[in-house]
This record gives sequence, C-alpha cells and structure tokens, in this order.
Amino acid sequence: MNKKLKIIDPVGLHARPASLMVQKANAFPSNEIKVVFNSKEANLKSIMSVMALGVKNNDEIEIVVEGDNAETVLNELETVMKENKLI
Amino acid sequence: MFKFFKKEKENKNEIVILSPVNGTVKPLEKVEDEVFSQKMMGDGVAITPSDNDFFSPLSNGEVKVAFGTGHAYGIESTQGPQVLIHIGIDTVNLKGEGFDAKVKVGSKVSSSTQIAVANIKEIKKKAPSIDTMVIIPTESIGEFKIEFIKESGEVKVGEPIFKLVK
Repeated sequence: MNKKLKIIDPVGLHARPASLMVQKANAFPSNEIKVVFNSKEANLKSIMSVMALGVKNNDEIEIVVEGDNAETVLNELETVMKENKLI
Repeated sequence: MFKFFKKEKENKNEIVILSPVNGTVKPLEKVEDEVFSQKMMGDGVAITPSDNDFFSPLSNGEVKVAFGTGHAYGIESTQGPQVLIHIGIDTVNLKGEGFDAKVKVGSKVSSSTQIAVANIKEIKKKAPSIDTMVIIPTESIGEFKIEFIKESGEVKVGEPIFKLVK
C-alpha cells in the first residue's frame, strides 16, 4: 500500500513534523513503513532516518506501508499529517 | 590480552554520552519547545552553551545526519543507539546563518572530533533559544536504558552527561 503526498510544512520534515510521523508509525509495530523521497528510502519509524532525507517544503514524498491492515495504517498516518498541517 | 577483552565487554553494554559543548546542563523538560520538553523525539538533556565549539558526544560513532543548515547532527554509536544534537530552538529557520558544520554524513567521529562551530551570540539574537538538545531517539535505544550523570550545573566539553546501559 502506498501513497504520494506533498509536504506543505514550511520547514519540511524536520524535528517537530518528523517526530509526529515517527511516533504514529511506531504505533504499528508489526508493519514495515517507509518514506521514499528523491529515490532514497527511509524507515518512518526512525527519526534520524526520516530527517536524513532532507524533505523540504513543497517536496513530494511517497509513504509505503507493508503488512496487515496497511490501508488503515496509511489512513491514520495521513490523518496525523493533515491535523498537523504537514500535507 | 585479558585487559583487551574486558574493555570490549564494557563497551558493548555501556555507551557514555559526552557533553558536546561547554555550558550549563538542564533537564529536557525545561526546554521551551514541546518537541523536546515532552520528549517526542526521545530522552536526554539540554545544555545552554557558553561557547561556540561543538564536539562529538560519542567517543566512537558515525555521522548519519548532518543538515545543510548546520544546526542538527545525528551520530550513530557502534552499538546501535543514536545521538541527536540539535543546536538552538527553531534554528532550522536560520538556514545555516551562524553555523559552520565540521562533519558530513559518513564522517567517523571520536570525542576529539569537532562537529560544528556555532556563533552563539549571533544565533541568540535570531532564534528563540540557543539551548542545545542531546537526545537519544526513542526508537534507536533498543535494550539500553538512560542513566543520568549530570542534570544541572556547569559542564565542560567532553564531560560525561549520561550513559546508556543494558
């Protein structure tokens, strides 16, 4: 399950926005969750991995969720991103 | 020979985190940014720096994250846990002004490796705070637990501030 999303947070996926997503991703221990950006892949469960991507304002990322209930997981991630104006 | 093995064993189960800068230590809870004070990224301490020279918090590690803006660095220990150094609050907005990075992604670091020079006086004028966070990202800590060594008072660069033990 995957979805492309455009980041509108002014600082991109930095400290606060990134940790919000990482926290949410870690709520699903049995799913593998990745962020793809600029043909680089990051583990969405690791803050360092996500910050290392250097996603900036207006960049498009792709979230990839593997495992059971992938659609629900993806929807919940999208919700937390919308609530915090990341997308 | 015996000494060598003993040293290896100790290293495997204990990681000492060193102060990256001269300054004053304070608990993370007192930092004026909820990302850090609520430990959203992980646990650690904050240091109010008193000078401009920042060094590696690990005696053996590799730089995994080094922002173009020079204000945040992620260093991974050989044992797995990572250390995030975030210099100042909202300093991402300074877009590199006042920061001079001395390492890049892939750099091997020891306690004598300088990671950055930050013009504290200048940054203070433009950012809400110069407080520097030294954090272990929650998801990287694994079986280790934090044992605080220093939670307040003056600290010198290279002085142990906390350690990870298992």
